This record gives sequence, structure tokens and C-alpha cells, in this order.
Amino acid sequence: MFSLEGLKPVDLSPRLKARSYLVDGTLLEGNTDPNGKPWVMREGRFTGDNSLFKLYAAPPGGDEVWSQERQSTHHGVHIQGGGGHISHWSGAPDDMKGLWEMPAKTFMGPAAVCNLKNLKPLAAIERGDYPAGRVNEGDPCGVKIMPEHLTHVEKGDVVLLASPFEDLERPWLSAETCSWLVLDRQIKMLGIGPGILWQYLQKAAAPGNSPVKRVLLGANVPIVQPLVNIDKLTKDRVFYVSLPLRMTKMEASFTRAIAFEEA
Amino acid sequence: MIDLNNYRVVELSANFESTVYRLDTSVDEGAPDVYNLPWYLEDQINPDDSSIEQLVGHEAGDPVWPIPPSGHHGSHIQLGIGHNDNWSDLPDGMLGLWEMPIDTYYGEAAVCFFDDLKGEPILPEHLGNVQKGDIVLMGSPHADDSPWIDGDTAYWLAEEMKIKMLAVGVPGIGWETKMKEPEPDNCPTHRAMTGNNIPIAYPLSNIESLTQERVFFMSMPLNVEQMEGTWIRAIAIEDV
Repeated sequence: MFSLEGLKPVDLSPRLKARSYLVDGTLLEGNTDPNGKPWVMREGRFTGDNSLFKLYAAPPGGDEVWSQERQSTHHGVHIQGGGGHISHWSGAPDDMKGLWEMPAKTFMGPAAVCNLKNLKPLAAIERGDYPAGRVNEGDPCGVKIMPEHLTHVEKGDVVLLASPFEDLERPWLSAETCSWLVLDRQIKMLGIGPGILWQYLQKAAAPGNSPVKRVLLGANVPIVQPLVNIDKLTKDRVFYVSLPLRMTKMEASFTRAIAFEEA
Repeated sequence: MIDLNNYRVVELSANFESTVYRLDTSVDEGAPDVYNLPWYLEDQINPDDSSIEQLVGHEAGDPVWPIPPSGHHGSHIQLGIGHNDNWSDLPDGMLGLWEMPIDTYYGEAAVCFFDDLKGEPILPEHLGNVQKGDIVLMGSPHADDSPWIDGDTAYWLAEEMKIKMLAVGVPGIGWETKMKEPEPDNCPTHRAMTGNNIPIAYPLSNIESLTQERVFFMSMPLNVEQMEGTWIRAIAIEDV
């Protein structure tokens, strides 16, 4: 029988604390996810059996931490596919799938842990040498992640990326390296933790915009983020699981991301 | 390292058909879950990168449910704190989903499929394949006249067999009884399970497609403190 016996679970989902409006008028304060998004809920009472439940909702009109009643599928750690998310972008491939169209095995399997702590920032060689910022010549800037930094990624892996660097010093994922991950390594999912620049050129004209999303989601490789605790993993290879919910036509889904490593 | 090619993954969360309100004002109709609860989404543009990020819920609302859903729509998992800890005579020491160790939510499961039990109580003698500490998966083909979990059976599972999780196919199993009885005689399955910190995962589907009596089961809650119930993707893993 399939077993995870002897493997230590490591929670890669950040713990969210729901800001909760209770039926007795109490407000329990919450926190935010690593992207700065809160999780707001309103308690209700089920008359069928007098049990309690919480709606995934802020008060009507929002409150001081969230400006509207409803929240999106991108709060907390979530997984996203291309279908329904970027399928309206010019040049997006026709065969791009939504999360709900991918088999469960897409979202679990052996994973390569890539904690890029050795990719220390470099001095920019020329102005604009970093995709996200206006670095000037000589400024410190993050290193472009290359295939040689990802040597233990095996064919068919999930890839978990993180680094200890911040802001403009974060290593960055290029379209070329994403293409290598897709075409050469045939990865099945990318998990992104802190310290990785992967969203840039978001306002560039299509098809030059958001290259990481275009390459990965365009090849039906889901992206899961924002993960935590990748730096706590002690092994280069783990078994990883983060299944999306099974709602059809939902472009992104809340998920619980867990790595299992040999104890 | 585990090779998934040696295993079959069986989906136990029913497909939940979202109703989606599109940017062009069209509506992709969906379908409610087995309790007639809907799942609404509304497309909106993320101004940062012009991708679509869906809002959960829709302002048009629904005749049976307010605008946004609760954590109890579709397949979900629940435990006592924040859910039924307002009931009288429950024990001290009840926990919330977020306070349980992660390994509560996966492990070896006994598959209990009641082909021949129609409109009858499920008793310990019907659960001969359940081992101490198991996750228990229950299902039946009887949608209309389902077998139901007797209160004493619920306590036997919780306190004698010390099961780790109860996972129930609906329709097919009546897992709760006496919902309108006065406390503390109400809802014995809820009381037995949440009072002993045993999560309940439901409504599940597809249990009839499992081919083995024992499987590996996984249904992880979201990592959100104060969520008394959370949506899940429940799977079973069988040997090929």
C-alpha cells in the first residue's frame, strides 16, 4: 500500500489567521499572507442543528483590511493554471488547460528542493540589468537563475524554489530557464517561496508580458505560491503534495502544500 | 522516493460545477453540491498584470444561500472548535482543525461499502474491517433509503476503535441523526467525533469505485486558523 510512513511532513503553506466577525459581535484579528492579503470571515449559525459556520466574506462593503465583501481565489497559498487565468491574453496557446482539467497526479510527486542561498547578488553591469527594477550600473541586483543552478532537477519533477534574498537582490527566473524547465526537464509544477522574482514585465505589450506565467502556464505547468518553509527542508529531494480544490472553471484554487522528507 | 506510477489515485471529492459570471456578462451555469449549495465565481481583471482573478461568490446571490460561500460548500472537513463547541455537554479539550497535527489528515483507511445495508443502522458488526486508528471511509449505493450511523456506533468508532478521521459518501450514508433533539441528545455522530477530536470529511463521492478494502486516504484542510470547516480535495491511493 502507498505509505508516507517514516517521512516527516513539512508544512509549506503559511499559517493564516482569519479575521473573524463572530455572531456575538466579537472581532478576532487576523494576519496576512506573504503577498499581504488577509483572510476575512463572517460567522453564521446553521438553524438545522444550531452549529456555527463561517462565510468566506468581509462585511458588506468591506472593512479596514479588505475593501470589498468578496475575496478572490488568490488569497493565501494557492495554485494557478492557465485556463481561465491568462487564456484571454493575446498569443496564449489554444491548448492551455484549467486546473480542473488536469489529473490529480499533476499536483503531487517527487520534488527538487532548490534553495538558492548561494546565488548572492551581483553588481549590475549596465543600467536596467534586472527585469523588475531600475538598477543602475554598479547597483547590487539579483542573479538570473540558470539551468546550472538547478542541476538536481530531474525529469518530471515538481520544482520548489526559494532564496534568502529580498527586493532587487532576489534571483530571478527568466523565460529561457522556464523553457528549459518545461522542455528539457518536463517539470510538472513550480512551487515558489520567498526570495524569487518571477513576476515582472507585467505591463509590457503582449506577447512580451509576464514571461514566467506565459511559458509555464502555457505549457500546462501549474504555479503554486506563496510557499514558506522551503528553507527548512533538509533534503534536496522530497515528496510534495498540493492539490487544488475540485471546482470546475476555477482559474486558481486555495491549497494546502506539504513536503514529506525522509526523517 | 515514491513512484506514483505504481499507484492509482481515485478522486473522492465530487466535481463541483461552478457558476461563473464572465467579464462579457455571460454566465457559465454550474450545478450545486448534493446539499443544493452553489459555488459562484466572478471573473475580474487583476490590474497588475491583466490576468483574471476570480472573486468567490456573486452579487446576484442565490435563493438558498447568501452571496459568499462558507467553508462547508462541496466536499469539506470539519472539527469542533468554532463549529459545535457552542453545544452543551461537550468535553473540554476539543480542538480546531488548525490545531491538529498534519498527519491527522492522511493515512491508512478502511473502506466500508454497504451494498446490502438499506435503510438500516450501521452497527459495529458491519465494520469488521476497521482497525484501531484507521481513517474510516463509508459509502453505499442507496441514495434514497441510505444506511445510517447509529449513535452507539459513532461512539464505538470514536472511543473504542479510536479512529483518526470519519469520511462519508453522500448520498449513500446518513451520517447524522437526531438533529432536532434537545441537547445533549442531539447529533450523536457530531458529538462522538468532534468531542474526540476526530475530523469528519464529507460529502464524498466515488467510494464505490475503490477496488481494495484498505487504501491510503488524504484530505488536507486549508491552513487557516478559525476555519471550523474547510474545503478539501479528498483522494484515495490504491495499488495498481
